[in-house]
Amino acid sequence: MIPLSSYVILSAVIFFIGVIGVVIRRTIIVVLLSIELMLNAVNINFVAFSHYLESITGQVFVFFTLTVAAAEVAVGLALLIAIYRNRKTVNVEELDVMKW
Amino acid sequence: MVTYALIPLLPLVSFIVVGLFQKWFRNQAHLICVPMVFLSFALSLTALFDVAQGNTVNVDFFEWIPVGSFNPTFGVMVDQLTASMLVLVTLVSSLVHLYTVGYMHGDKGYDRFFAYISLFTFSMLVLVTSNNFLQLFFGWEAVGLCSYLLIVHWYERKASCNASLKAFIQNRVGDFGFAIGIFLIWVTFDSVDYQTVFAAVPEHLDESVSFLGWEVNVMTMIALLLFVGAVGKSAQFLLHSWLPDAMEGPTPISALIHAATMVTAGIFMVSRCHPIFNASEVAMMTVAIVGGFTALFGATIALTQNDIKKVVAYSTMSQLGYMVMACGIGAYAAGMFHLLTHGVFKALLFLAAGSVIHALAGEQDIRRMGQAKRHMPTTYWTMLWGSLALAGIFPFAGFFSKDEILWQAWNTGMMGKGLWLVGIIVAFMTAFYTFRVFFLVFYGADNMDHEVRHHAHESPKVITIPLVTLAIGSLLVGWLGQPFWGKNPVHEYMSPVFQSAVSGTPALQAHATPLPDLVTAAFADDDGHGAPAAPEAALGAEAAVTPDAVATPEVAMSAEAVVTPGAVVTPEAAVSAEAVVTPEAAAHPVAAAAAHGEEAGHGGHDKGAEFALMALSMLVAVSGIWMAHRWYGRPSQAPSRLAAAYQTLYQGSLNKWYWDELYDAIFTRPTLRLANRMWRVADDIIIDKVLVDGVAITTRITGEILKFFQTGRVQHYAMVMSLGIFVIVGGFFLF
Amino acid sequence: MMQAIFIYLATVCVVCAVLTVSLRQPVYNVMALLTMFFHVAGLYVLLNAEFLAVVQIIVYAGAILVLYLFVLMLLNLRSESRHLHRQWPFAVLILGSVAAMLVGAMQAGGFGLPTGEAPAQVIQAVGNTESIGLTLYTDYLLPFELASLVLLVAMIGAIVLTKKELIQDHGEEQS
Repeated sequence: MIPLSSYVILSAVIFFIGVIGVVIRRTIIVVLLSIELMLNAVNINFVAFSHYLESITGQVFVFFTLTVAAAEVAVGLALLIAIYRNRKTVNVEELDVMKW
Repeated sequence: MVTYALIPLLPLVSFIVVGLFQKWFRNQAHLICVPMVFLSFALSLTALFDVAQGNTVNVDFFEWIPVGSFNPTFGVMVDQLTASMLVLVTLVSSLVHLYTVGYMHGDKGYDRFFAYISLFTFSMLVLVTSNNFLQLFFGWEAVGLCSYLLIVHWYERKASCNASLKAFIQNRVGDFGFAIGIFLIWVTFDSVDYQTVFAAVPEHLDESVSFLGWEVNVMTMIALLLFVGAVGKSAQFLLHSWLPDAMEGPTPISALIHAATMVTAGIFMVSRCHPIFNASEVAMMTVAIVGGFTALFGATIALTQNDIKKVVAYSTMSQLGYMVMACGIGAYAAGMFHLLTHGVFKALLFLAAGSVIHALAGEQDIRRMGQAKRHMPTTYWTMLWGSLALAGIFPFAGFFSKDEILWQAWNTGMMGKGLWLVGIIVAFMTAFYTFRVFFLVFYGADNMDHEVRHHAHESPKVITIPLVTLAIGSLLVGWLGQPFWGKNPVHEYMSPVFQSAVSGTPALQAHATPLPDLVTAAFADDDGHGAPAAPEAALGAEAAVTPDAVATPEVAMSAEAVVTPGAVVTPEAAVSAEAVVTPEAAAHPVAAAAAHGEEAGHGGHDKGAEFALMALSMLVAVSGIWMAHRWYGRPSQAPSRLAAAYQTLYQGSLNKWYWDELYDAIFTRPTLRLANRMWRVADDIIIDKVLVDGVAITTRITGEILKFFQTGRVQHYAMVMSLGIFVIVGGFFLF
Repeated sequence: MMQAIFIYLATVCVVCAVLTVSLRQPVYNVMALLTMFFHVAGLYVLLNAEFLAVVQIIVYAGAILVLYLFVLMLLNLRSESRHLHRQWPFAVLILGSVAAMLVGAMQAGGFGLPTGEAPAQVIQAVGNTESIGLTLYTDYLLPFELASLVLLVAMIGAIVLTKKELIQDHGEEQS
């Protein structure tokens, strides 16, 4: 029997890899991928707890996460295209107009 | 019961309707207000007769502000005192409403004016029908507010604004004391309900309260604080100077608020709270002295004033002093009686003065009037009647009520004799200055401007009808308190109010009769020719102050007293004593006796002394009139010669004994200076420059520094957030 | 047996996650993520969530990642000389230590678990899909409908953001 803590630890590790990805990559597209990583880590957690708590609610929540992820991808990629069209770059470091 | 609630509500309705829908009414506002207030008057009359049959009412309609154990209600209490006030207020208010239709015709604030006098009527009616102190305070403040709003009716005029502010602020001083008095009542009695409080008075007689480091008897403290409120509202000495200035308002207001109703609220309140006042000899003495002094003070100023309304205003102040004095010597019924008669004839005088002013195109200076008799006969006659009433000439109203007060004063120990002397002097001055105005306006030299004389005319019907009504009233209303035969009807009517709650408080007994010993007290006023009575007799029949009265079998029986042998039986005494001992008094002989120094005085003294005093005061009044006639009836040099001879006195009186200047120097100017300094230093420098600008500058500098930390790059922010997480998680691990 | 499968799946997941954030070419990143998603689906099967495993593959792998690939192809990004942010060693150090601390905490603390109303046998008896559907359409009906609204808004937002004419018109109006 696999203990619940294994799943939780796995999910934590993946989540932090996602966070590191968000912080260190210069390309927007990989930043978005890292966010997907984080969402998946959360999903693993949900499903694992759903299994061990013997409650179906966790799996239902995965659906909502999925919805949000889909929406985020749609909007995020649309933004990416719009930015690329205007600035000819997808480098996060160059997108710094929102300052004094 | 419901009809009683309607009495105050009807004017409120007309206020709301006219106030909210001003645009619809404009010059038709009286169509709502006048019928409503007349209806109110009719209801008040039914209340008067209802109450006369003993049907007093005291109901709570709803809980008002329940806070813990503090649970004041909103209710209606209609007893004899209230009923008589109701009739006075609604009567004068109705006539003033009617008068206003003519007087304010064409004024651009016509609808507003009607809305406010309706609101005032409502407030005053709430004040008098209240059954607890908080509601009383509500009405008290509301009439003050209305007074302010109405004085400032012509708000473009600087004088009006100043006068209204003065009235409002001086009243605030009084209200402050009044409010603290109510707080103290709440602290002492755990209630603000009249009946609860008054019933509990005997239990708290010996308690004391710490005030500024002194231990003061709690009853004295409460009574004095309440009296501070009365001083403010009734323009007694020290807080008096707002009343004459309030004459800047339109004349109907002067008549309604500043003569007949609002200013009498103080006297009403003192009468209403008589169980509390009775419990404190010091407070009673203060009330009496302040009242007497105000009467004298106002009269001396009125002698030399040249503005017709100012003279009437100072006479109001003086007459209010009379009433307060009456309360101070325990003669509440007499005070209330004078309040009622005064309300009628002073309203008449004001309205008549207003009619004169109206006819003379706004001229108020009596030196520029004269020979007005032929222009306005109705005003002439009504003003004559009003002046006779104020001067106290038989058979007009003022005669009865004023002499009642003087007679009661005469019967109240040494201090009373002094007050009586003051009263007689004031009566002389009153007669003099009243007729000084009268002769200067209607006889004397014709000093009118040519233009004014040309336009002088009798006022329209809508003005003269209230005048005539009030004139007839001022002739008749005095007979309600006629002392000549049988029982004095006013005393009869009021007796349940002033008897019920007083039950034998020692202070009162000591007050009504200067000697503390109960046995001797019974005979104290009798110039010492009473035979020593058995203690039981004294206790049982204190009602009859003289032994003569004790000896009459009827009285003895009705008062359950022991007949003292050897006393002289005089028929008159028997009759008069019988007049006094009402059935209630028989039931509670001690209470009756203690409460009614006044009535006891009636019973005990023969009518002869009273009539003699009446004749004396008549003589004094007539001589005052005669003097006024000599000096002002036709052109004369006597007044100016006299003024030149007594320059100091004349200037003092003309300048109101410099009281305004004194207040100006003590309060107004330092306050203005302080305010000015606060503005320049506290507001301009500290708040504006240091605080407000300082915050702005600090924010700006901080922002200028911090902006370099903002890179606009998302990942830097994310990194900083990560650092935050690191600190939090690491913190958990470490600690 | 289960243990071995779990270790395999978990290892691949972590490795693929690391590759996703570290590889230079965006296309490789997407591919690594795709591999990871398949293995996450395997984890779901391990946890008796078969329906979710299928949805994971269809939605994530089939739809979302394909969308990424489309965009990548569309933009035709040139590979960059420096693909990592300057702060990367610092970030890895800090966040790595946070992760390590949390993992340590999780291993130290056990999870005392109450049991719910849907043990594995019950779900298996009803069928995983059906039980999810039951819950979703009864207890979570309103959130479900709201989720559809979120998708609708995202759809409209994406259209508005990418439509060239709209932006240009707007820009012309501005200028």
